[in-house]
Amino acid sequence: MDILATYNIKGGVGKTAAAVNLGHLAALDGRRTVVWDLDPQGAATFYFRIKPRIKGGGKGLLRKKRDLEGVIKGTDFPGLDLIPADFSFRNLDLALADARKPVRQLLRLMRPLAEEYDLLILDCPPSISLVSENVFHAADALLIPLIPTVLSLRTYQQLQGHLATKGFRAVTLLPFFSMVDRRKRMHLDTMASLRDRDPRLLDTVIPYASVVERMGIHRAPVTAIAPQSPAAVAYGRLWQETKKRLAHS
Amino acid sequence: MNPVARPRDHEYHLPRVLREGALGELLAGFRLARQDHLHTTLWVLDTFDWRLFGAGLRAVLDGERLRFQHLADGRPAGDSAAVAPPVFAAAVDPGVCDGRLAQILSVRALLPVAGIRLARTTYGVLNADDKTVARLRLEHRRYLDPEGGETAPWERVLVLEPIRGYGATRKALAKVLQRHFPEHRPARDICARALEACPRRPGEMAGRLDMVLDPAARADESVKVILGRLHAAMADNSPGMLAGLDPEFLHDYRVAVRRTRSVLAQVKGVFADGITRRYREYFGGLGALTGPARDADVYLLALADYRALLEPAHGPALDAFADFLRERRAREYRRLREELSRPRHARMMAAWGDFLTRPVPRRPAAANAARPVKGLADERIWKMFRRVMKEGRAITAAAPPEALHELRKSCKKLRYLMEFFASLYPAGETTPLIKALKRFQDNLGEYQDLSVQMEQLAGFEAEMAREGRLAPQTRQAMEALVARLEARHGVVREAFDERFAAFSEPAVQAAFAALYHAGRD
Repeated sequence: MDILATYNIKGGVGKTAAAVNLGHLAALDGRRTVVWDLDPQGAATFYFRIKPRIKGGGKGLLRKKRDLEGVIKGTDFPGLDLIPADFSFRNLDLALADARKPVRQLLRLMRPLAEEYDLLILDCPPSISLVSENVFHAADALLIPLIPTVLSLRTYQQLQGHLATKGFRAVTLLPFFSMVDRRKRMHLDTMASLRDRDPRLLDTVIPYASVVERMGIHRAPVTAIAPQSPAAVAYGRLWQETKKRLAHS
Repeated sequence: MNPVARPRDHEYHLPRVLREGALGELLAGFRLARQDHLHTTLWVLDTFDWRLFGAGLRAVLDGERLRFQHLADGRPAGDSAAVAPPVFAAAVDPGVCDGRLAQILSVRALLPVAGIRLARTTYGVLNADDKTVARLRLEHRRYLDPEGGETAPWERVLVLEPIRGYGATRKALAKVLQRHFPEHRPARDICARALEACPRRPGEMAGRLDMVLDPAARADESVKVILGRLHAAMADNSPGMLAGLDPEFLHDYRVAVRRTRSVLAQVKGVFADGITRRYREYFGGLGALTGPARDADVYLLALADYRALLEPAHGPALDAFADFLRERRAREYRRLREELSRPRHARMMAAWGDFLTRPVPRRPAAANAARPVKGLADERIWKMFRRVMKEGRAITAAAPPEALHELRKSCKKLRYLMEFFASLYPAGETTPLIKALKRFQDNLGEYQDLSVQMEQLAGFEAEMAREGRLAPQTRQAMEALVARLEARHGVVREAFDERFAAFSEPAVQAAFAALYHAGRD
């Protein structure tokens, strides 16, 4: 089972949209896929019309009262399941800190899923915390959506610095540009400058598109509601590129 | 293992056609939404010898796509645009089946093995958030054989497809459905159902030489069993061969013909002389008749290797040769169809089948007919082994190609005999000897194939020149090719001594003697 996380310290950059659409595309591609919505805001859970509630909350999972397999919900799409968010995930850091080997707890919970799934996608909350350190420890790759702005690139640098200091060297970084407005000179310039500096940058660019925002109205992936739209086509390319990098990581 | 099992589909047999509105009335407490309607014919495809099945895969063709799936869990293994059978690997997206399809199919084509005529309406059972929490599929199915004939009456079922994490809905639906439709069971895979209704079983090959002979049985009875299998192999492959579906039909047909001739020639004195003579002649003729079509297949299949042998610049020059071969193949297959559609052929084949199923005479005139088969098999195999040894030792550096050709034929006869009678000997002991023989045969086979190819390529070249279609570049490419093959021919010839030494080493000789010549001088 490959573990892929959509992550950025910054919020509102397109993490959940990437997790939900890649999950849908991976399932269409024949991978048995599960998305774990780790963000207490529960946006991914909302997109799949599932109730953001886990019996016993995050603590119940960590204290082994409940298995992760027992809280999985099927989405409306064959081959794609979801582990819903729970509002208690806002305190997941505290619960993790109480455990022995706090950085390895989430991976311990995920391991049994490898029997049933080929791909696990973690939709992470923004910020750097003990939850994100668990993610850096567990994930094979971090998909990092970047809005082409100065602040966004700065947080990307912060993340690289943090990973190096904390010794998370095994995880592959897959940064890509997200919510791009090609009419903006600054977006184009920022993209060109990073492309020169960072060979890890994926070629795919996800455009800023209102159809992605409509996911909240239709409560379904854009790859399902408007599969021919430029945004859906871009997610298709992102999945192909991610798949290739995962195979070589 | 896994504490929460994934919920399985369950199907309810419908005693009568369920009208559109009736389902809503039955399930009045639930919110149903019609999500999909499908009216199609699905075809399950595999090669004639079940190569996909052997690799744990299945191909299903509908009107739009050719979909591959894993047999173990039904997981998709990629899909490709629909193409009408016969489907060769080259016509399919190379990414399917983890990129292994070409390797699995090799030269074989995917053909229909069973079909399903299917009308399916899918309803979602929705909760207050309009989330689908279960699905109901109303299905009318009719199972078909590969020719499209119906193999069973219409099947009418309602399938409950639960969704993980919504167990309460599943239970509530099941309760209502069971009350209305008492005949129910876990849903079955419709492709497997369709295959069950067809005469051929996945993985089953009628002509396979896996029969078990009784060592004490009469020789003539046992030989009839072997020939019966070969007769079945010819009958099985004949339709695919005549339709020219893929080159393996003709190949396997020819192998069965050659093996039949070999039994008749090698296992002497088991049938009346007249019978043996008549059918040896007949099957000899059949071998000769099918040869040219097989040659065309062989050279067409070898073209990719030929191109790889040549400088890239020469490659396109072989296109004219490829066209020449394709025309030739079409002509030879046409001729084959004409010849084999003559009444005499059908008569001879039917009479041969009758002869093989007729009981053996109580007091046979043929000298070996009533002997126990084991003794006869020992004798024949040992004799042929000694001939191979004698001919092998006589091959010196100066030996002519014909001598190697004769030795190759003797090896083939030995191999056939060992395979026909393999069940009379402990499996653990025959297999390594067959393997040792095969390694030796590979060398002889390649040498002979190269000799034939060099000669035949020169023949094709002359023929193309006569027909005025040999451009100078094509002539150059073909001559370069013959030169390459000649170089390889030399290398293969040099390896002979080493291969023969390996096959004739004392341990192998002792093992042959112990197995086929035990208790004799």
